Amino acid sequence: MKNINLITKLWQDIALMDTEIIKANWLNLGNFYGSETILGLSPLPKFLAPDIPDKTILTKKPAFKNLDIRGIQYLRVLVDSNYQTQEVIEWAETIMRFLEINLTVLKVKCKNKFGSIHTGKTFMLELTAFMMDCHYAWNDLRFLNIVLKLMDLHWLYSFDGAVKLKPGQKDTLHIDYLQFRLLIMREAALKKLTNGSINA
Amino acid sequence: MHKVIVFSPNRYSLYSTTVSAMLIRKGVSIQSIYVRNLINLKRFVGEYRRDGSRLIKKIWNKLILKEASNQNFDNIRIFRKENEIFITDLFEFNAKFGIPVIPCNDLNEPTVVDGLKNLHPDLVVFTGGGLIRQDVLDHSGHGVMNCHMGILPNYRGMDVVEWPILERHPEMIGITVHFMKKGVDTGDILNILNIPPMKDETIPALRNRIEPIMCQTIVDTCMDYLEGKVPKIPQKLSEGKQYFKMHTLLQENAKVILSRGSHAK
Repeated sequence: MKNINLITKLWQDIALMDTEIIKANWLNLGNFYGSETILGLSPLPKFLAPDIPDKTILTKKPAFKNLDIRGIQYLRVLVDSNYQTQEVIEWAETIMRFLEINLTVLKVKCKNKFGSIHTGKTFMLELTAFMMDCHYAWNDLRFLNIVLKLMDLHWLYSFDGAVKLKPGQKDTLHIDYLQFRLLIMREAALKKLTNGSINA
Repeated sequence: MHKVIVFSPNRYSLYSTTVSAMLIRKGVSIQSIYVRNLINLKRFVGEYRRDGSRLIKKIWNKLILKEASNQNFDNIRIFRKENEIFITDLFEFNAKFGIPVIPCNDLNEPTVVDGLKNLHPDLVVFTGGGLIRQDVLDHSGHGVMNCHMGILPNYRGMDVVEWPILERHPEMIGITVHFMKKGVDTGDILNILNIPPMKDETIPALRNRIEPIMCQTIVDTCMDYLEGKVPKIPQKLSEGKQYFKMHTLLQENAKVILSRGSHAK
């Protein structure tokens, strides 16, 4: 639990944020699947899941190449709503398999797909958050496994809490929110596992 | 006489040499042994993509240390001694029994497929060497038989000794003899053996205990199948999941769970 002080500090920052900002960043700040309780942090206000206008993702064949940020966000909303259609599970399984097999070449694949490493990083962090949501929603440790591997990639996850979680440059903040979310949920998942409260 | 071909990941594999020797003792005619070359850049790159830095450790343990590694948990060496199996290099099968031992870079390459087409084996016994493609499967007689260190269909893939411990399903540790199919560990099942951990047993010790059981089980199942005593049972894939290499943090958790004896629900 070496990160608990950092998490506590950042959590306090979020608690001071305007509710509109939390609402606007619902996918990253609106629902931590109870990890805040596991870490002993006071819960934030709850908001309804946002409406994602582009719902075409479920009509596509599950594949990394068919996925974009809006698609991932829609899948995350579906996971949160406990809307476990076979399609969502298939997407999650396919993406996890892809990430596992291509872990060492993901940076190149992202660069090829997006042309810029910054967009690629945002996309991959969204994907990591999707995997993390799947772990919490379905209590499936295989998804935590891939999240841990992704968070070991220095080009992808490098959050040290130095950037304050306050409104400002939008792009950078989105990445910070995602990284903070992953940090808190990873710590909580590992704590839960160590305490022996996960039964698959 | 039953005709079998053996696939091997490397010429010094204890598993391959043990299984081959046991098959010969059972009266099986080994038509040839295909063995992957040790020094092969494509293989190294492929395995590095899969295993990352763990590959270096694997190479060090398996090829450099050989006899020195795992001395405390040396069940397969004891098993070999008890069964008087002294061959340590697959090429000795050529010298002693005249069995062609054919090196290849990949078990899917055309020379292997051609060899299978010419020899028409009853089946192929797989003792490691990567994924097998459809054209190899298509020319392997009844199929390519593998012994998976995990219970199918529940635990497909990798580290499936650790995963049931982490998920608190120790009763789901064991081995499965099955025919290979295009998907990972998805082919018809022939034999399942549950091997739950013993009191105070560590994961490396458990894995070590399983190794000789795998040798014995794949040989026995192979003989039973060839004699028509074992049916093929199709897998219900929906009953299982595919697992991947376990992250070190989860491995540590699995170790702790096992040592605490809290792996049982």
